[in-house]
Amino acid sequence: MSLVSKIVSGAKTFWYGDIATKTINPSKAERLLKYKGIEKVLGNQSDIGVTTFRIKPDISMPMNVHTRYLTNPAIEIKPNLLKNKNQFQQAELGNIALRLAEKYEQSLPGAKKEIQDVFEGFNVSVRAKGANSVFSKLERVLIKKKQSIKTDEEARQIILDAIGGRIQLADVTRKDVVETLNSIRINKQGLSNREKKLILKLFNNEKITEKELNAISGYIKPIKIALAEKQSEPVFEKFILGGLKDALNRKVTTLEELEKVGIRKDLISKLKTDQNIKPLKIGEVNNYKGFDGVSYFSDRQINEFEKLQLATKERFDIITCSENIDLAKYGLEGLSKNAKDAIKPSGYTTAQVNATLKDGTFAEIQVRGSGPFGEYEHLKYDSVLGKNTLGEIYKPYSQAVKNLTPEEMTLYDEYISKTYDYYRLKELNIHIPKPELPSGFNPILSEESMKNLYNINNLDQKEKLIGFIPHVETPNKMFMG
Amino acid sequence: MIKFNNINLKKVNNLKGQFSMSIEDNLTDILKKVKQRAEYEISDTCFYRPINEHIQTKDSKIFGRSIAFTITQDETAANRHLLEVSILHPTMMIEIKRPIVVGSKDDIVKLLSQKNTAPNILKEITQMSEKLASQ
Repeated sequence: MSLVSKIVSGAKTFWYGDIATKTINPSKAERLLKYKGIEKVLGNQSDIGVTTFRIKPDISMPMNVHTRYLTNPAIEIKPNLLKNKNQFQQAELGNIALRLAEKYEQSLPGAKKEIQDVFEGFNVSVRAKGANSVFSKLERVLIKKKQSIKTDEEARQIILDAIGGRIQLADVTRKDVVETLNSIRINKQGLSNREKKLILKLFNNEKITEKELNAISGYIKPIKIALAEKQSEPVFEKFILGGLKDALNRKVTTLEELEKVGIRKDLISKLKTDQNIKPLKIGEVNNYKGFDGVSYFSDRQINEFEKLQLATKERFDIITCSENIDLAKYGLEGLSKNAKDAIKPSGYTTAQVNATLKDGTFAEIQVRGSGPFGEYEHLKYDSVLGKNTLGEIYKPYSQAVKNLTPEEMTLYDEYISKTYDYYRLKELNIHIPKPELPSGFNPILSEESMKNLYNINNLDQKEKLIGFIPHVETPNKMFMG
Repeated sequence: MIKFNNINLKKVNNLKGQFSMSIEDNLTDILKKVKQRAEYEISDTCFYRPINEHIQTKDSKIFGRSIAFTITQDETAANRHLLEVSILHPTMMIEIKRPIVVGSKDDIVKLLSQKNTAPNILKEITQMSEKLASQ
């Protein structure tokens, strides 16, 4: 018997027993498994503990029962081996995902309280990232960035949305629209009564002549932006005040410095007088919108985040994802984008702010309106990427997406984008005709169908989850990818 | 008799793309341009159009299609201006930006005149480009 085989045999003897119990001596196990070349020697994957973990009735991922309770992966996770679907690598990555998901679940009660305290008065939901989602993200990022990881901590640094918060904004009311039209100044001038009437007609999807449309077309975009700002301003204030309060508490800035960089006077005044502001260490800000979409944070609001950076000298990135970025700024005006290179869902509109909670957990807090499309619009994106977070019910839809030709995909992206814009504008009390699926397309690709599949899947998952406990499948059931 | 110079018009020594400038050289050039425009165009009392200067990135060290420097005037205070740098993703659908300095015209011009500004901005651009590459 070779030395390697003896060690492996010893390891198996050492751990043999109920796979649900923790390894008695993890450090010894770790040393044994870290013996160089061990994964090359072993032919039968089940001998080294590679198996399947059933997370949900329809979703599973690989794991290694022998090394599940180590504190770090038994081997270095390498992107080229992951890409080649090396099962030992995938199983170790699965273990990392399970360990991290457990930690996130443990920190969830504290995270919930912290986020709900900061955003008191808002409709806030908070969840911990599940193991399959952690696994998918780690696999994708490591392969894309050609990055290896040796420890759970390195993996933890990649998952910036360990805790996900979602804040739902209220829709803009008719009263808000009228107030905005009365107060807005475009090129330092207010709107005339005729212009206001025409705009209200347009927003109510009533017919206006082309001449009338031309008279007001230049005002539409600034009014939409003003309405979006009105909608998001209360939650934006919570973010920025939380960030300012945190910066003051950590003494990385002073009130004088904040005034010097030009933070809004009303925000400074609230910092001085309001004792109930809860601190929140904010990081990256993502502001996504579709082609004709309206982002949740305006440029003015983004500037306040930039001023916070300058006052604290702490760098975080401000990322705008839009199919309508101002290319003239980059000297690229007139160039068309290749829709197939789109790396975010078309029309995807949300604002996201990353935060670091008090216990060091990373959180991603999303701001969305009441439009339902955001719940299931990601199906198209997930189908294209082949994510394993989609259940069985979505298979016909995913297949229909994969069957689209590049030209059809462009048309489908446009349809998805327009649908997103339709719901976004509805939040701003602007009513436009609902977009229709391009003719000749499989009806399963329509927005109504996506909504139905989403609802059916939710019901189905709820039923399947009754009595279901995530578990390790029998050693004979190998993870097949 | 008319004699023509023996020029072979088809033989063109096309150097396009062969000797592209490094990002460091590009950055020095563009910061010079931004400084000149800032001195000439920024006003602490009157409205001015945003100042934009850009470079197309061909240096393999930087991930991105184009880098832009923008100076904008604060809507609420004419004597406050923000200089920021942004990078455009190759798909032209994502941009990432960071502020460099906010202040009066003198503050902006002073920063752009300092020797260590270019290396500091290069560090920021490198970090931003890594973030953009992971999107």
